[in-house]
Amino acid sequence: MSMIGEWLNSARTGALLAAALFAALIVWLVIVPSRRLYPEGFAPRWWKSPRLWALIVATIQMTVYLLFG
Amino acid sequence: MELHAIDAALVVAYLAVVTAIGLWVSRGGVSTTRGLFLADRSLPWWAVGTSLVVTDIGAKDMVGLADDGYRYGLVMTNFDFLGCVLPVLVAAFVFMPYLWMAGVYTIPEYLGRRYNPTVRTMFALIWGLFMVGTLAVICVSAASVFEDILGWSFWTSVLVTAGVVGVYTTFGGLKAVVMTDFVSCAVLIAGAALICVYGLRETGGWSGLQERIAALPADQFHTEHHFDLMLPADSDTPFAWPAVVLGLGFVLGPAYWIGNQAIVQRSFGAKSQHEARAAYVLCAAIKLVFPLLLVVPGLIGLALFHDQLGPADGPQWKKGGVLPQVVQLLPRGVLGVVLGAFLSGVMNNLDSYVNSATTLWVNDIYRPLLRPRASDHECVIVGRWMVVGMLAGGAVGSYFVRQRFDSVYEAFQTFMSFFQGTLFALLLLGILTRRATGAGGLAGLVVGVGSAVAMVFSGVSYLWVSWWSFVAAGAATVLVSLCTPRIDDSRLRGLVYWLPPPPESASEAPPPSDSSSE
Repeated sequence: MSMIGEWLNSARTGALLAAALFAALIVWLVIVPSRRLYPEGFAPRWWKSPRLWALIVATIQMTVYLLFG
Repeated sequence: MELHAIDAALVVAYLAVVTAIGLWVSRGGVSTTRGLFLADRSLPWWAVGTSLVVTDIGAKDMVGLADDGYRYGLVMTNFDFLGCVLPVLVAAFVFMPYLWMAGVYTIPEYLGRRYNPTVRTMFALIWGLFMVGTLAVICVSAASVFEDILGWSFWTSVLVTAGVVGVYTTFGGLKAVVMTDFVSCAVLIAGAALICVYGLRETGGWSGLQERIAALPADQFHTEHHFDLMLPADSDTPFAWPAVVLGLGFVLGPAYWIGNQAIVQRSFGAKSQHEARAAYVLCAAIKLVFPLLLVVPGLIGLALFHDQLGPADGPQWKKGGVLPQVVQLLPRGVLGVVLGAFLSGVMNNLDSYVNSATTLWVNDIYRPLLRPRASDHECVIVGRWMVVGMLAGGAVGSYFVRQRFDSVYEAFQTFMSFFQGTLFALLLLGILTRRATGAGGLAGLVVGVGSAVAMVFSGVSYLWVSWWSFVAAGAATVLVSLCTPRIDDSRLRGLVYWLPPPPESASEAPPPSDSSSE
């Protein structure tokens, strides 16, 4: 099997792809403007912000795939 | 196994508490379809979030994931990690607000508005059949544990389960279902955690578990990758990483969390869009730990009971047999809590799916097709009778599920793969593009479901069925849409990501300030 074939076959590649999906979500959550998420004038306090908690959850899950995948 | 009095008392106490909460919440009665199916949009985020968890995870998962954890190992956690956490977060921020703002009761209703009424009707019929299949799966998973622990026959287990939940669900409505789910979620987590704690104590901790499994003959038990989160692409199992990432991560997971009526209906019942979004995030947070609690019992079963259960392809193997073996490790009192958790898993799953199935049949079939002039009161009564019909169908179907599938989890996923890829393609194109047309949606539906049926009967793994039916449905929708006239933008406002509703029609928008949502 070629080097690329071996890399594609490896379970580690799958884990890295899974981590990349979470990374993409994290980037999107960081850059998406608030007006896309909340109606005009609505600003939750930071500890009640679904965006912040979603970032925390996605980061934990990405770390799981990077460390244990 | 003999059930001790203290365990029986705990189970009875649990049932009494849940029933009392259900009755207290639904005091005053439910007299409208909006109350019965959407809880009058009054549900708080914490209740919706925990209800989302237990609608997804129930008896079928406790039994099925223990079986599959025994056979395949930690790779099964991907069904929650990649198949849940990721799509739930995407759903919370991209899809759910548009479904919520549309003010619909069901996913087919949304598809009907976005595409055309034929798409709505066809999806409602497919969903209705899927719901009956799901009820059958839940009945089988309940029976497999009741047979072993209580000594009941298969049919007694199925009939008692369907009967008890039928009475409870007929009168409860969505509010009672969701509020009891909050208690059940706590009991379910506690029960699953107790199985892991006592099991791991018996194996000598996590390292002891690994050593015991490593010592098993790998050629018989195929344990080479039992502690790996991903399997190589050339794995003999259905869970090679390309199937997991493409089939589960891109299609099956998102389709389930964005398009499953039983799931989405909970968010439709939330007080506001903000609360619905917070509920999804809470669900994702809980799902960070829950899958381990469901898969690890399978590994414990493999380490401790491989002599009794044998290899999964051997003559000793019994479907749904791992969990009943593992719960034998529990001491008196603890077994009662775990049985309570199992019962809550059965009840939550069953009442959630029955409630959603009823919503579909009444909202998308009965009212628009059979009785357009039916009053709200008539629909509530019809809905209650449909609960009985659905449960009867599920009980009969349970016989076929038991005969046909190796595990209840596989049965559930196979049923979903018939249409989830197609559904997700239509939702994705419907919400994210303006160009998808009614004819395109119909073509996508026919091609997607048709190809999925062909693949399932050709023996293709359900993860690949999901992926390829998604591709086929998406391609057909795009192709036909490009050949047919586009839908006017004014008809798509509030249904498509790029076309928000006009301000005056956003009557159910989230509260204007943070303080009002506290």
